[in-house]
Amino acid sequence: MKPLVSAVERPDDYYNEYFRGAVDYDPAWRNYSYHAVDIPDGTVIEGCNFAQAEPKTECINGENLTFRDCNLCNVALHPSWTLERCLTAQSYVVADADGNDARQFICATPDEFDDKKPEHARPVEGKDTLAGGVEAVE
Amino acid sequence: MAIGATMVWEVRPTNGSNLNGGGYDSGVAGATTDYSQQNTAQESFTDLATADGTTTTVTSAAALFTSAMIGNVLHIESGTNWEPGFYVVTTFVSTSEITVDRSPTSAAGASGVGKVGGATKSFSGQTTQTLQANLVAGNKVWVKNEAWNESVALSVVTGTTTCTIEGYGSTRGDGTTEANRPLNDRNSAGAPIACNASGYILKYLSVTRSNGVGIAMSQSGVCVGCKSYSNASHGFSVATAPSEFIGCEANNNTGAGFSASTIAYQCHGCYSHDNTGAGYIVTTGTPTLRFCVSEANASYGLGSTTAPIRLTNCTVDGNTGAAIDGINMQPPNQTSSITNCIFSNNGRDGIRSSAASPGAWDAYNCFYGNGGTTATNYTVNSTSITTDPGFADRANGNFAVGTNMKALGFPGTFPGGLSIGYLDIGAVQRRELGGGLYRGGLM
Repeated sequence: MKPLVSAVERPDDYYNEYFRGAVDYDPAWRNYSYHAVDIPDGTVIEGCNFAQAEPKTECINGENLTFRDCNLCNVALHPSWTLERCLTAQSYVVADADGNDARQFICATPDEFDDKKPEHARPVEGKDTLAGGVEAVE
Repeated sequence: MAIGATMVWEVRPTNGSNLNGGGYDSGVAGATTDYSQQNTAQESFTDLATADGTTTTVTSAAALFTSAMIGNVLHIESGTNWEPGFYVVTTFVSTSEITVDRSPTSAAGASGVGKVGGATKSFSGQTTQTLQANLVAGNKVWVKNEAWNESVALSVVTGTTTCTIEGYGSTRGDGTTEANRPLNDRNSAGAPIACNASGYILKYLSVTRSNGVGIAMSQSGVCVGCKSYSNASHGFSVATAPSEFIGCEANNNTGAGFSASTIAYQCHGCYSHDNTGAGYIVTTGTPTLRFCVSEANASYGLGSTTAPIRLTNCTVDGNTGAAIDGINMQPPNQTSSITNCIFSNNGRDGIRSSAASPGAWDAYNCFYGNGGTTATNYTVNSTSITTDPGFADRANGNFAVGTNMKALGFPGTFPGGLSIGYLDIGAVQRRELGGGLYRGGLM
């Protein structure tokens, strides 16, 4: 399948490279970084990447989901989900010494997140609200 | 004497004990029996004694010593005037007397507590002297596939003599199969494995859920058959000195799959996919990738802010983003070489250089289905093609090429015209109908 975003194709609600808009879950694609995703209730998802730019991003629509060996970095978690060996760390995109994107770890789970943003966090230029549930960023 | 280069250690992250001996050196004269490959100690002592602070003679009124203990480690944990650490049994004198490799006490020792034999549990969990601090060049550490969660910091061994850390399942040497490899699952804690000195070889180890980088190679070293996934930063990182990755996999990491900052790396037969960052990224030095796959990352297949770069028989496919290229590189292009590679289905260009410059050694590449153009600020050689690579099962990660790529790669006819090769374009060569079984693989 084609990548979810390209120079010529992108979701209707694509905003920028950190907020790439909403897509439907497709087992043939495993990397949903920076996307909002609709997943049918009850689905078991293995080995997928849902990492987001900013902590506690509400980006996955679906209940009673089971995530196995997934990257849920910065994803706001739903209480009906079952997580098996998933990364739930919260982090900010920061600039490293070479000016490249790097990650500053904040805490292990969304529940521990206290809304403090590091001074050198890289602006990800989100807008107030995106379709698909991506929440506002500064 | 001290811990010898031929010492072999056994780590069993669940069933071992940090009090156990944990090591066996078959190079010690008279060594016959390895007691380290068992969960429990062969013998435990609480009454170990020495006569003074210089002797290597250890006595025990319990009279539990045996000649089979020669070559095994006596791990001293505590005692009056005892210096906790790992000591090698070098001589059996009697059931109540042995000698060890060096003086174990600062003065006459009494009530020494220690164990001979048994696998240790960790690299870092011993009370006073950790295993990781006592490794010496030439040592080998076997890590059994058991539930494992610790921060391993390897910083002692330096130089060209290596220290190998190798994972296995049920039998030493079976780590070539991924299911047999131990997985260091950090559950959002830090630094699963950090090599802070040169000379370490990591084989058949997996790490996940680090709050930072999965495997950090701060000095020159080698990773073979390692996997790093779902970490909060890069899968593998390199700094200060070059490292080499052979048959390694990095996926679902929040950073790049393979990252290098102050120095570059070499990758052979590696697979980087589904990372939030680039598949491979280098900011200084000359990255060399051979027979590597970079696919479905949310940033560049290879992002390089340095030059030159060297790619041979790589497949760079499906890296996603409106401004994401298969390769995003820096001039001067002419110092780089890109040969026999496939750039397909990437978000923007197959290859993009930040500025125009004379052409690279670009030959026999395939550009297909990229969202932008074939290349920007980069001259594609006339030997390149634009046909569908015909991947066998791209959705499931099988990038074996189809007949469109058959025998189109460089060098074909060798200088002199006496030898002709039939190399396919792309990382994963196709199997001819009726062809034999493949032989290559990790070993």
